[in-house]
Amino acid sequence: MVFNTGASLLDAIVLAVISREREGTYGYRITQQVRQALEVSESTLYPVLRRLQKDGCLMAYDMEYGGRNRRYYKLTDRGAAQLQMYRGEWIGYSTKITKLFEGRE
Amino acid sequence: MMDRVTFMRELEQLLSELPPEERSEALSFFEEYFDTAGPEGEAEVIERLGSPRQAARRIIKDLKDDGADGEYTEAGYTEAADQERYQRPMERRMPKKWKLDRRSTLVLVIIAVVFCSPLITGIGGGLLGLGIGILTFLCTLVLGTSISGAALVITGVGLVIYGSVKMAAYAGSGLLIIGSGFFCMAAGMLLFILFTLVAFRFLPSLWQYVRRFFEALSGMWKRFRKKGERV
Repeated sequence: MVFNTGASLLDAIVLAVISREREGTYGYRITQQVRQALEVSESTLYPVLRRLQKDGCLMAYDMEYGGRNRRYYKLTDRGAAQLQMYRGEWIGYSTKITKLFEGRE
Repeated sequence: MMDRVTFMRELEQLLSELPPEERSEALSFFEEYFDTAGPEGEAEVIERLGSPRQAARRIIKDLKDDGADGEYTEAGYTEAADQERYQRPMERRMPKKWKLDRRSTLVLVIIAVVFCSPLITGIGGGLLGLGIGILTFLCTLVLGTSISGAALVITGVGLVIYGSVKMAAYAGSGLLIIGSGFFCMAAGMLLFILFTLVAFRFLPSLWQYVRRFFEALSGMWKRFRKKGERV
């Protein structure tokens, strides 16, 4: 599609996706779910995950799966708060734009 | 198209500038991703990832800047960096340049000269000697040949005289000697004229070149010294 996604929106989307799983989720699944909305690559998503982790919005832990190590990401309290903020912002933002497109006041 | 192993190997190299912890974290993410996708998914993943260079660039940039100034469109993430496909990654990753001011340049040069002085005097002296040798050789060649030419002419004259005298008694040998005499004169004159011309035409300009070379050297030295003092 046509519209660009800024860095914050992508952060928000990643947080939203991860928040769906209470125990967290791993890189592959996160990417798959984000890709339902956006055409992004793993090399785009990895830095986002890393950054959110560094900012304290995500925490990571390793668990073994199929004989290999798998890294899971989970929302922290701060991440949850951040996501709430993003949700609010999004509603405001998208509503205004929708109004503009529909020609209303 | 690339395969996973090649991709990961190149990626590892391209990420070498990162601190080891960051690098291994990034690489594990991708290894894990490939593992989960399985061999069937491998091709698709590689296609999505782009080149190792692109992937590395995004990873490094985002980790450094802490916030991308790129845009995520539904067609994928694009940055100015990606547009210039052939730009060397090194240039983007090292924006800082060393600034050498005049004083430090001068110091560095002096140190270099001091350390290399044996080498410089050795090679320089050798070159100088060689130059002088060549110059001397040329001069001698030219001068010597023109002198020989003159000598040849004189010999020729002498032979003619001798031959003429001999003519009285032995006509055959006399003629032969006179003939050789003229031949010598002719050759001698030729040599003399040629090489004298060469001497007078080229030697002065050669001298000019030599002079200009030394002038240029001293000019450079003077300019350099001026620059150094301006600091």
